[in-house]
Amino acid sequence: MSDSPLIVLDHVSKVYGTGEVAVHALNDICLDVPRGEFVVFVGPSGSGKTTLLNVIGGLDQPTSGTTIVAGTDLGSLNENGLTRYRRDKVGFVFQFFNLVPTLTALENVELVADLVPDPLDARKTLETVGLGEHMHRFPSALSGGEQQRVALARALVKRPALVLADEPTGSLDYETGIRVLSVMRDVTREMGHSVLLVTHNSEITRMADRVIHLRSGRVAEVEVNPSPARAEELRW
Amino acid sequence: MSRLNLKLLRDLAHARWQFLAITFVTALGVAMYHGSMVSYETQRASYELSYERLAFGDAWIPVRRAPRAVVRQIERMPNVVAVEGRTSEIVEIEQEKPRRPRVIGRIISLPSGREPAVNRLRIIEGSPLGSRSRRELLLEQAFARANNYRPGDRIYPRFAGRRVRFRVAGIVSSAEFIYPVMGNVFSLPMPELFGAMFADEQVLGPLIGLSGQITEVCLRTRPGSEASVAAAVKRRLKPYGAEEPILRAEQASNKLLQSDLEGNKPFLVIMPALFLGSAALSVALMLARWVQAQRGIVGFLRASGFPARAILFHYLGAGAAIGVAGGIAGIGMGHLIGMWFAAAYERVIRTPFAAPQNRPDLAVTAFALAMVACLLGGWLPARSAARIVPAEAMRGMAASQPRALARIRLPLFLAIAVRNMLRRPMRTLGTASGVASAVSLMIIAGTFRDSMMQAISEAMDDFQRYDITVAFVPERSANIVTAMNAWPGVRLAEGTLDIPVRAKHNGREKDTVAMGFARGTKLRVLRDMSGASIVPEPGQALYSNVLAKRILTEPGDTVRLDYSQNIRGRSASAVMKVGPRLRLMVALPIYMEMEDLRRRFARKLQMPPDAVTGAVIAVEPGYERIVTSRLHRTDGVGLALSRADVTRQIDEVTAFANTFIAFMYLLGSAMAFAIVYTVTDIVLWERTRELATLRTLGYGMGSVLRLVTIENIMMGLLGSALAMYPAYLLARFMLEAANTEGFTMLMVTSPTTYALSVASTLVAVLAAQWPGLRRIRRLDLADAIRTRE
Ligand SMILES: Nc1ncnc2c1ncn2[C@@H]1O[C@H](COP(=O)(O)OP(=O)(O)O)[C@@H](O)[C@H]1O
Ligand SMILES: [Mg+2]
Repeated sequence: MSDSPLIVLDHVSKVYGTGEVAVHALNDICLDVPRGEFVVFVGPSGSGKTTLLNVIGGLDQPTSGTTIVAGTDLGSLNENGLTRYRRDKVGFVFQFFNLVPTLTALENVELVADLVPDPLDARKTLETVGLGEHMHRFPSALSGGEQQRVALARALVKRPALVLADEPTGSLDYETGIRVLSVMRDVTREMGHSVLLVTHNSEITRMADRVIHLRSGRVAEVEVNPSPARAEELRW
Repeated sequence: MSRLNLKLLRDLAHARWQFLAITFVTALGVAMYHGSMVSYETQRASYELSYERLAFGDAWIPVRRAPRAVVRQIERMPNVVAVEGRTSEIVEIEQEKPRRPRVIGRIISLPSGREPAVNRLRIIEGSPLGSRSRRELLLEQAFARANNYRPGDRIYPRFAGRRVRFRVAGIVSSAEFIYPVMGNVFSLPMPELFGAMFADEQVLGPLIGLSGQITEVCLRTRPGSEASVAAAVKRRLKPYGAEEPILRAEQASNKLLQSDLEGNKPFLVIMPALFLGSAALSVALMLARWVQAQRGIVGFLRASGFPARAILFHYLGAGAAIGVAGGIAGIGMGHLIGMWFAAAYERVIRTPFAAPQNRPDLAVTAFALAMVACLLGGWLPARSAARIVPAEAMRGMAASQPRALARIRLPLFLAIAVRNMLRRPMRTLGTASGVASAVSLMIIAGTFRDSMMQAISEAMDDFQRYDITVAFVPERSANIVTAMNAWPGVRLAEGTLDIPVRAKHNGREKDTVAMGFARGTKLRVLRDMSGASIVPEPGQALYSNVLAKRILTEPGDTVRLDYSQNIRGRSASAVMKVGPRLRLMVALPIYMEMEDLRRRFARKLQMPPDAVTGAVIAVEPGYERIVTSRLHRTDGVGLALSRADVTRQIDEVTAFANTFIAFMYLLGSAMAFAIVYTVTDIVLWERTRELATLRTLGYGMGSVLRLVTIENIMMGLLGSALAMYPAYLLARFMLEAANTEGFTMLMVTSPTTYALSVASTLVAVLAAQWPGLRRIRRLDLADAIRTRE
């Protein structure tokens, strides 16, 4: 079981619209992703990265093809099943932090921890992402990078099998972006999480175990990186 | 507490002024409902209790005169529970100074040495009737209160022109006179002028020439058999000149009480509905904004594994919180309102026994209403939140397209305002509806005031061009009026003739009075619905809509009128043609041409050929008191009522209505403010970013103020425009429901009412935008345009 790939995509396609205006966001994608890796999806805007992540995260159903994540065939799940799958298996980090403004950093993390029977300790998780001192602040009193680290802690606290991050540095400046990536890299490696990160910034690929290039809804190339760079070494 | 609930509480605390405003509106709705429900139920229960304890009759059968022994026979008839025989006479009453010298009384006999089996009395002061050798009376409390009688005082009824001294033994309350009126025809309570009083039959009999005789049989029957038993008793009493029985439903006091209760019912429904509807709307608007602002968060929550149900309950929870707060506050306030209503009502109506209804089920219903309103209001936004797909967490919202309509060319600021309103038409409509319900409430309250004022001023200044009304006991020849015309200070005196009749049409009937109206009459005016002056033709009967509805006649139908009093043991009836409808404040009388009325009724009843039962008199300025006091010294004058007396009586009756209207106006304005505040504040929250952007572009607060004000005023005007027609319909419906036989209004809404309602709403709008504007001024601009809300 532990040798089987974490994610198996088999002829996955996603078409938006029909006829003349149909957009093939994903076009017959076949892909295996092993466990425990830091995987980066990269490609130009509109290449289907977000769509692919949404399919894997159970936010969206493909038009055709099979998606198996951690042994679960997502196509066999109904709405409730998908909700349970997301709750138990996946942690999300989005470009927009989407913190609840009327809850403190700690409470934002606890909000998600409440969902699962055996979460990590919310305080410790915040300490891990370097926010031990600010955990009682409301989001409006946190910088963008700090907010995104709260969002990361919120994704990790559930002990998900899989962390999905869609352009997590998209709203951040360089320094802050690096700091967030580095925390993300270190913490997930330490905890043995698998991470799927989407970006249009090819510099970030240097820190990945595996880089998957998307172009026009197809997998253009898969690179395996034997010696990933540390986040601090990145430049953009 | 779960973090999601914590978020809810914090969100509510964050929006506390909106929360308070909506809670307030909810509480007002619940309070009105609960308050009027409690007083409605209390009144109903108090009547029931009084009827039960005092063995209130199920039927009354008047007879010309019958030996007291017939009561024994009736007692044995099937389904008869109790019987009492008695005499009941209208007499003139003389009083000591400083009381008004002459009033009218109904003296009813009580059995010697025992309590009556039907229609008992409750002694509230003094003692029951004592020894038969003493001339003692019990006075009905409304009369006693109005004329300041205490046990031991003297009072002087006149029997056959002779004044007899009585001592007041006690003050009583009676189930027959809870609404203290003389009878079905004179339904304005005038306790100062009319009173019921009770004397021992052995004392009374010789004085009225009816020793050992009765003129009325009162019955209690088994439930459901009232009508049949009454009919059987009438047949049994036929040899003694039995008249049509009066069933409990037709008994004057009871009927007025019931019609009052029924008249209040629409208020019970419409006012709370208006408030709770507005509360629901406000909840919907507030939550719609929340959901709008929190789409990303909801998307995230859904992505993290919160089920759609949790999101639905989360936002419904906000509605529920308002429902709970508003419900509890409303029940408390409603309790106070109920007590206040009861106190105001008690000034006119005192029940012998009170049965306050502080029933938990009433409170529970009121609370449930608040919950239903707030949950209904929360339903649509909560459902739309539950439908937000998790992917929303990732994508920005689609910018809404300006509509074609919005591309009209207007001055810039006006254009922005118009486009903003058109951009989200449903939201604009919702907001405007909130404003509209506030405006409606004020228009309705104003319409009631206008209509009442109009009815009174029409009646007092147009229909009645005289200063004094006189009633003769009994009727007289018109000579007496001719004589009055020669009195100093009398400008003009005209005779009046009122004959009690029962109007019948197609199986429906109604006790009322036929009034003679002579061609050439100068002191009274009749008007048709269009306001044109009208005079009854011979053979024609003119009356109001209210009576027409009771007996279901249309102009052109025929109506049968039967003389309905037993005093003279004669009968008279006439079939009349129904003429155009009249516009009347006191809606029950039927007008006939004077000579026609004399020919068809007065002569058959062996009244003098030129009979009058009263007169109306116009006096020279300053002569009102002089003429009135001369009238009081004139034989045959039972009652002389000056314009001031009538005005005072009307004021007393309308005082309650006036307070009620003022109260409604106050609540209406409060609600208007609360709603307008809520919706204005919501609009400003939504626009914060846009307005902050304007400021970064170099527009000053002045420009922002101008923009917001233009838009809000347009919203206020739109709401006002939307309010007009529904307000008209609601006011008409409620006015019709509130119209009773005793007091009828035509619907009038003065321009002032419209102007005042719209103006106060606009003022509320301007005041309500203040907190939002202050927030925008203090806003950190950089922050405002960065936050993606
Ligand atoms: N909900 C949608 N409806 C229609 N087309 C969509 C939708 N979502 C994405 N697309 C289209 O699918 C393609 C892939 O989009 P996306 O996965 O967001 O790309 P990326 O994240 O790589 O920028 C684009 O052409 C986009 O316009
Ligand atoms: Mg994308």
